[in-house]
Amino acid sequence: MRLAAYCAAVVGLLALSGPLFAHHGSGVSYDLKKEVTLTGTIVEFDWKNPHVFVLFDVKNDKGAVEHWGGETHTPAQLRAIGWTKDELKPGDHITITLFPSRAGADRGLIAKIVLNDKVIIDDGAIRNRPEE
Amino acid sequence: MANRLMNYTRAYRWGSTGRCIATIAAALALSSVALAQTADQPAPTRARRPPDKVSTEPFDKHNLTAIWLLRTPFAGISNTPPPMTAWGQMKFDANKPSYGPRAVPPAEGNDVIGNCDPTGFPRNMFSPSRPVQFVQLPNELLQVFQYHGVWRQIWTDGRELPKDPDTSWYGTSVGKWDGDTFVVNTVGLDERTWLDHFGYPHSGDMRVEERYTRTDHDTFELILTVDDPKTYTKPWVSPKKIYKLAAPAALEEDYCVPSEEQHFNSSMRNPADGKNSQ
Repeated sequence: MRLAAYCAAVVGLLALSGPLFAHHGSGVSYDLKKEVTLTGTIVEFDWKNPHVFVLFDVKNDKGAVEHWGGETHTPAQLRAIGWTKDELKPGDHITITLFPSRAGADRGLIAKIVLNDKVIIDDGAIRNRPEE
Repeated sequence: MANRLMNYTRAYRWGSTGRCIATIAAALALSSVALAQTADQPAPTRARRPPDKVSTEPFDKHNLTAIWLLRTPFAGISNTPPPMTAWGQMKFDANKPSYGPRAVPPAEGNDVIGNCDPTGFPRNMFSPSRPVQFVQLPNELLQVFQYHGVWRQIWTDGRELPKDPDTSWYGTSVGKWDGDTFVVNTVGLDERTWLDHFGYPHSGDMRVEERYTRTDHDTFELILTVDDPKTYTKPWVSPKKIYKLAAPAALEEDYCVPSEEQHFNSSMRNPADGKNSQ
């Protein structure tokens, strides 16, 4: 088993052991029982309070470009798991899993990002968090 | 936890093996940071962290100088508020939080921190991810909070609390040692702030007592009592809140910047809630 896959598996198992963070309004804005996985190109990586987010473009089945966004933790929390302001940049091609917006918007809470075959964040544990 | 995170940060730069090990270590460390929604109830067994080792390093019970981080996974006074007065209930009903059983989407809420207004005391004591530095000086205990870069001055020079204080976001505080416990009383708190992110209110007449007890080199315990007869029918006493040394970490610049908040709201929060989509 490749190291990255092994690492992802172990982190995934740990993720099942409990929630990582609470998040302002995440349970009401996003459906933590659903996940959507998309492949796209980053347009903006916003490394700032109150929450870090990425905006990215996704080409749909009909060839049209959809403008998506995903939010995650604060920079302080992400620094604690080793992220830097250079973790992502415009032009990066990512596979991203989101807990989608309850309002049906092209927005979501980030569950997982894979960049260059590496899992750079796996927040799947959020799905196990008690309802807010 | 701080050490584990430090180790993680170093390992992160050692390539894929170190990154993997460090990611696992960090996931372990952070899996204990189950916040808010778990209230004061114990976390599920599988999520419970192993007990912290009790430090045997020598320490001065009357010295709180260090950088600390809250370890108790509850972001408020407690989950058992006393009954509210009619005025308190009216204020509570008007507050629309985005956490807890009354949570509404942030775009529909009115949590003051959503506009980068000051968090205020005592809510600023309850961040499990942003540390606070205590600096014990001859005439005061200075508390410097990473978030917003704000401070409290707790006067220890024997002065009395003002009888009719002007209100402010963090109030006016005096402290003194009662045996091995540092007792702080605070008045003059601006009633626009919430006690916690669940939207519990308070009046400008609130008095808050804090009791800090350093129990070992790495730990202090804090018990808060909110005494606000205008809002609550009896004092609201917290369980012990545990803070641990965050050193050797340093405080980081960590402001809530209105223009950045606005950019986040227009780019993410509002569209996510179906408001003002870009």
